Amino acid sequence: MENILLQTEKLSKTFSSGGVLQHVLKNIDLKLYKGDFTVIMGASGAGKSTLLYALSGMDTPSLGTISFRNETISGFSPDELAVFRRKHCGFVFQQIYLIDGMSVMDNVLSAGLLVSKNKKELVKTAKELLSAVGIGEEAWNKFPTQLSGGEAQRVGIVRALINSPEILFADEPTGMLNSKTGLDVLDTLTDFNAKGQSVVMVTHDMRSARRGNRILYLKDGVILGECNLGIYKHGDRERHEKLSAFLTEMGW
Amino acid sequence: MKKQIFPVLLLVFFAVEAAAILIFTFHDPGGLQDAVCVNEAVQSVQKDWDTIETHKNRTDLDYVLLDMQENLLFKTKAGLSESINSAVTHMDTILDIKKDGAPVGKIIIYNSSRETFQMWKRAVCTVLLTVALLQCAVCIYWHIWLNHTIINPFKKLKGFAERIAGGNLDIPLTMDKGNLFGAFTESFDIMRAELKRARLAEEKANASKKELVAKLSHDIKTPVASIKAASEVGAAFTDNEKIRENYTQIIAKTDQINTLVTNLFTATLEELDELTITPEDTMGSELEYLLENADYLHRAKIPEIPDCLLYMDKLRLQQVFDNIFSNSYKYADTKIDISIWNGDSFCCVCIEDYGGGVNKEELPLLKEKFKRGSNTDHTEGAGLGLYISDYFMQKMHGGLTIENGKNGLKVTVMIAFGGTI
Repeated sequence: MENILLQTEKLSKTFSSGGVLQHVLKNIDLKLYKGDFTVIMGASGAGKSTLLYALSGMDTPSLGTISFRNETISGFSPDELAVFRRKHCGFVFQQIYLIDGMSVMDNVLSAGLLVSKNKKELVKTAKELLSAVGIGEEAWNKFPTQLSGGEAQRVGIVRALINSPEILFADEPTGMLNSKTGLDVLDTLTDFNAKGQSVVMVTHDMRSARRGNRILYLKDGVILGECNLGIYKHGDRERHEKLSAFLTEMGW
Repeated sequence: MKKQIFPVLLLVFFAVEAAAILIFTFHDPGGLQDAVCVNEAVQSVQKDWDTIETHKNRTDLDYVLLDMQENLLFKTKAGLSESINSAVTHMDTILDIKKDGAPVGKIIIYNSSRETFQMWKRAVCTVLLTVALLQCAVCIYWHIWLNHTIINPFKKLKGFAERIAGGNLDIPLTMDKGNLFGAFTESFDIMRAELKRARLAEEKANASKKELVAKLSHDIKTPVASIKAASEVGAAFTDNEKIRENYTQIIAKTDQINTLVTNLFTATLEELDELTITPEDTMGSELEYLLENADYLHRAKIPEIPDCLLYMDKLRLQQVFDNIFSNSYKYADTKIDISIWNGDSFCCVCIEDYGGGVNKEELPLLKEKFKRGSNTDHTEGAGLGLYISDYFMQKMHGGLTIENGKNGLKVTVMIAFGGTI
């Protein structure tokens, strides 16, 4: 199917500690589609972040294959993987990791300049994106310490999107934020997804999970089930009930 | 310390109660009129008699003033006796007020002894009641403490002893080491743990013995068959009658050994359930090692192993492959093809030889106990290898299929994927 962005076959990740093997991901067969807002849920230790890092080329699988647009990336060297990540992936983490000594604009441009040398074009894109996430011009020259948690995370999202990645990976993006700022960040992700941005988000927060149109539930390194919620609509009670029923069925 | 505090507290409270009762019994709360005060009151009244409306009480006493017609002239507070009759009933003091030697009125001085006694009684009752309540609280707390430290541990011990008597050694006896029976119960639990360890060790030893006997019984047949075959050749080629007789005797003995071993194996096989099979998620690459080990005559070329996690007990899967390869060596004695692929639910390992296979009707019977193909009559075997292999694969949530392939017998071992169980 041409719509498939990422595909895994028998993806497994095993860690060894003191001679004891721990299989964190077990034979995962998964397809991620373009334009989807895929949410990976599960209890702590289920392997959510490990799966995200394997899918995004941040980590290499122990067994199995990962293909991005029919190209197998699981055999890539670390350098090839770095190029792949820069070109095709954007990352939003729970810890925002903005560089304190650089302004908001410079933080965003620093990621863009790794891929493109056209600074003028990058600045234009950065301004558009920053405005789109509600970061006004007055904040562009501020330093990260002068921003609120929600603002900093939105800058983080802009930095992740500056290279127009085909897929945006978010690992608990609202984990460090309070309820209000968390909602702002979720709204930002939802808006970008509505414009066609593919998003893969790891969360164990039900409020965040509601934003996805496809929910995968991971347990003991295996995808136990998935639920399709359709396009996100604000205040959709039925969506919430469907997700609750799914999570209850999964033993959440 | 905690053990003594309850009786000590109770003794203290008893002492307080006894003291309160004794004091109440023998102490005189007073109540006699103070003559000096009475005199002072009378004097002050007599002094103010002419202007009695402006009279003020200068003493601690309460009193009422009446004229000779018993009309009320003055009273220090309400509730006092206001006539001679009520004063007599109340045992108040009644004195004359004289002016120039002649009585002009009466002073009735209030008798407060009853009130004083009531107050005293209330105080003693309060003390007794408080101490009694404290005693009750101490008793309740003592009861709870005794329950917690003595009665409940005893009940627990009783349940524990019943479980041990019933053979259940799995549930530990958890006790607070700080309570009265702490060390005692710990010893009990150590005894339970030792009993359990001994029982497990015995079970394990028995299982190992049975397993060993089953395996040895199966494996012994092959060398015995070789001895028999060699003896038959020897008997056929010798001219010496005595030596031929010896060979014949050896052949008869090998038949006897075969029968005995079959009997032994049958007896052990009944307890196949006790063979431990502990599958776990294992790297698929282990298959290569297992297949290489099984194919010790190097009749097969091992293909690429699919990259995945498999759910298997390596030891048992090795036995399954050993059996399939040794069968092929025995009955077909040809080269062997191996193919491996990932199906929907299983990783399939297909092992096919070039021996022509078995009769189609006999295929379903091959996995049954003591069933062998009709074309195996000249080869030694018990008809148990595939039965055991199938049993092992089922226990590993996999399977074993036997069919006639293009060239010979095709055995497919289906191994469950890791993470699916």
